[in-house]
Amino acid sequence: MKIRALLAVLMLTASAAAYGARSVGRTFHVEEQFPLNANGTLILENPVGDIEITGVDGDGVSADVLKTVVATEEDGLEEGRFLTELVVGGDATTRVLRTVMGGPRKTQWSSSVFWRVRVPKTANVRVASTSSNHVRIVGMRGNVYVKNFNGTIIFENDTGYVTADSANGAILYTAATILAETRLSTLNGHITVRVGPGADLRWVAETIGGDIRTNLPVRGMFTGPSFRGSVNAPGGAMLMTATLTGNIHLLGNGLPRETIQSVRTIEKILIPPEQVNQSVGGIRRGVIEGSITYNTMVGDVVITEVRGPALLSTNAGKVQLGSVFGDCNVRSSGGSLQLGEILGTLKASTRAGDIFIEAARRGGTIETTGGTIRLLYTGGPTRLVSGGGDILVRQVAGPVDAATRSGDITLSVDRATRKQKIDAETEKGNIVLNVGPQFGADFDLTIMTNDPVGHTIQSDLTGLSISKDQVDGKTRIRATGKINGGGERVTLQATDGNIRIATAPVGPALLNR
Amino acid sequence: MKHLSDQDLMRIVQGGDYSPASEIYDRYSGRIYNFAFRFLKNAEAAEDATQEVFVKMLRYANQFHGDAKLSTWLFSITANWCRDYLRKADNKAKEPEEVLIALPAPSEYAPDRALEQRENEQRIRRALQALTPEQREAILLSRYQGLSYAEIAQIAGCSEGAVKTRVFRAMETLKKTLVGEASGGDRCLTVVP
Amino acid sequence: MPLLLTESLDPARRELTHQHIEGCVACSEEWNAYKETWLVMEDLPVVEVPARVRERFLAAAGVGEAAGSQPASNVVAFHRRPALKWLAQAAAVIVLAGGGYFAGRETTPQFQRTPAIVNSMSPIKPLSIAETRVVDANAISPEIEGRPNIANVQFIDSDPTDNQIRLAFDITSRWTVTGNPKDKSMVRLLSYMLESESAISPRSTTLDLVRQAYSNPANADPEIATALAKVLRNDEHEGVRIRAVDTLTNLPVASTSPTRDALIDALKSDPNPAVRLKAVEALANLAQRGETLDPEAVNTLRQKASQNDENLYVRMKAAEALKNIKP
Repeated sequence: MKIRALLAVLMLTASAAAYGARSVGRTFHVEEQFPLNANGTLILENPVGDIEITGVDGDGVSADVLKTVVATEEDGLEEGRFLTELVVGGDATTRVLRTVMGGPRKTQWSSSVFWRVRVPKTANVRVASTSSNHVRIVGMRGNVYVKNFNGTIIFENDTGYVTADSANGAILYTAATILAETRLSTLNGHITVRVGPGADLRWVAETIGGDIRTNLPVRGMFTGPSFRGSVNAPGGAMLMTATLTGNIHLLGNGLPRETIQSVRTIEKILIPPEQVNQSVGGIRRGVIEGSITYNTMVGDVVITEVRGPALLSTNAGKVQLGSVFGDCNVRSSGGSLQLGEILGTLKASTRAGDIFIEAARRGGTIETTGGTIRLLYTGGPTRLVSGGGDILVRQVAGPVDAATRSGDITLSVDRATRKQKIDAETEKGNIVLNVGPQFGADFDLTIMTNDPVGHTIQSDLTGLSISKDQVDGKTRIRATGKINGGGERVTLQATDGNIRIATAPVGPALLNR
Repeated sequence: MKHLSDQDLMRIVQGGDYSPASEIYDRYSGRIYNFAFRFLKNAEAAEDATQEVFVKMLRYANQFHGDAKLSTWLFSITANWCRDYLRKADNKAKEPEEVLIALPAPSEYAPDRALEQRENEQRIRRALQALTPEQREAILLSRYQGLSYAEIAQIAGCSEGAVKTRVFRAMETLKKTLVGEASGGDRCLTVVP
Repeated sequence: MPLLLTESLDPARRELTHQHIEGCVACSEEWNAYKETWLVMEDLPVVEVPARVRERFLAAAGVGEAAGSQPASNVVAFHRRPALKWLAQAAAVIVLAGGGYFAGRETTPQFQRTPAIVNSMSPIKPLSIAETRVVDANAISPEIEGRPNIANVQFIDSDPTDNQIRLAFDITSRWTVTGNPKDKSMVRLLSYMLESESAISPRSTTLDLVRQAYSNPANADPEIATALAKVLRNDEHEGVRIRAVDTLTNLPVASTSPTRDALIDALKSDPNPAVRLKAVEALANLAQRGETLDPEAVNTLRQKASQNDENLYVRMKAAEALKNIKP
């Protein structure tokens, strides 16, 4: 591809945008024409600045470009002008227009380039932008592809294949009807499509954190967060709209706004039973009298008090509960769990995140795929599992079974408790068990290690017998014995770590949530 | 005249006889012109610089001491002229020339190669313009004129250490612009004692 | 590198530096980049001086074309500097002295039996904590204190006739190193501990110590961030990787390139969603602090947010991070 640099400069339009006593600005204007076949392709890359492309009859590309530089001083203007290059390349089959930012910079300046381009309406267009107020494509019949980061993408009366991909920008699409496959996707922006009220189309819409709304006659069904359906007669062109956090609107031109409703509320739309009560967005409440069941696709669940049982789940979000008077079942597919006083049995799990619980009065099961578990008090049989992270229980008043794939386990048995069943296993880390001096148990403590000198079993309670042997290339150090007359079984296993049984008083809990 | 040394020629000039002028011009004009052109990126200014330098050479011939190198003295005059040129406000405000990379005339190179050469040339020129004037002066004199740091220090009116710093900073900037960052990004902090 | 480039080193140090460059990937790449830059600059052609300049000068000087002076080429071939001294390769191989903290070194302390006369002062060399020593028996105190642990004993008698025997063994000793977190020795020691799985255990304590000591911006050191980034990449244990990424997020220098690369890799391919989540949070923190994320980080966040089979919370966090980015 041969490249030519554009001849820059010429007219200075208004001599500045003076944004303040310390800024100077200048705009440079360039107009050029280049050959492009009617069925050729235009590629336009402009990191900062607006873009407007209009389809016209005939062939050839005409570009009307405004380059604006703002700096704190004249030297900066000069450097900005110099380093913001307008480049044209390609040929009549594929024409490339590009804004290239050079460097390195020695002065402070910013620049933006506004491209206004006319292309043959039957040409194909590819646009790449980073930041702009808008990218507008009007009247194209060829294929159009637009990718940007920030800024609104606007399509008006484009009838070819249209694809838009944005990170934070909104997408607006307006046409009498959709004649070819149209894919509009943005992560954080909203999507609004306006078509004639009689337009026939097949529609796929997906949003996780937002809503899907329309005032057109639509029928279809939901599968998870995705809606698939059709508008008016079946068999029209495909419209695919997807956003992660934004809303999707499909509106008929000229139809009253009052008729816009959420697709989920339309009678003919099929929603799987398990999703019927699924909300969108989180919940924040103070006190809930009685029980609560809440299930959301995305959003945080924050409740101060539930005076009954609680069944709460979020696919993406944290759960924060003050106290729950009954049984509590809390699940997040990703997000931390922060629970206060749970008076009933607790079942808490998250796929990614830390868990902090003040008290599980009746014990329960607490699991995280990756993260730490901190439990201040447990009063019943408790199972704690972490896929990778520390486990800490500040006050054990019931049997405990703790396992982590890697991390330390620290358990402190209530000093008044003389017997308790404890199982703890870590595949990489240390185990510390704090007990009162009168604690009695049948101890079975095992370390598997490659460093038999560095890793040890230490016990403030005397009477354990130590043995060492080799198993599968590792040294197994085992300490067993009945202490203080024996009692429940205490089985601790650490790989590549230490085991310590301590009787010294444990200091106040200084735990970070 | 061709067989005479620079010192001999200058002695004649200092005696009031300007006949060696063309010989001295022929010996050094290429270097002076290229230095000025690369420094100022302006052909017209480089022509003026070249002419002025040799006129001054004649006018101030008595300031040249035979133990110094003539090239160093000429570059000194050139560098001063170029700095003065840049300092003038209207010269700063002048739009530097935009170079259009036109399709090359048929040459011994394949068209692609010639275009590539021109593109490289463009890149280097742009990269040099991205340096400060002091760095540009130092790197042009060092890289393209083969002067020693001591000579450059004399021309620039600064210490040898300052010249080395300017050369290094210039190389850092040029490296980033022309070659890019070394891959990996790991920094080595080993100090050789 | 600056000194080498500008030929400011004496021959011995220049030699040593070249030897180091040959063995160090980072320095080798940087040096090659400088060499390439120097060569690329060659492409700037010599421009011909227009003939009119000569005419104007000669007219101004009041001299015409003197007899015998032919119109010479306007481009005077100047003498290029001979191939850069620093491009010339060293011939001799010299063992690189000094250098790494943990390089093994043989020392043979010489003990003077007569009073020493100090002829010159030389700088005190820092101790290496992982020395290999070869010493005469009479250099060691016959009193063995503290019952040190000894292992891997070897008995060597290479010459039975010389009435000398040699014992080689490993011995443990306890070191207590005190210093400022900013001391290079302290930084190196902690970095080594973080990175060397077999050299020390348990590692989790070192991670906590590092987090405590280096969260203070006054103690910031990029080597610590680099060591943590290595742990994040290489450790097989999720809990350790989670700790490492957590610690990285709290370091003031978290925006350095090795850290960012490690966070991006963790986000792309760590099998544990908690690690990926923390990596997103770390990148999001960088964006919120106003740091500019490079295109690769932005693209990775963008891909993650769009990836249908990714944990939804990770996706949402990635999308949230993108909102705060100024590309």
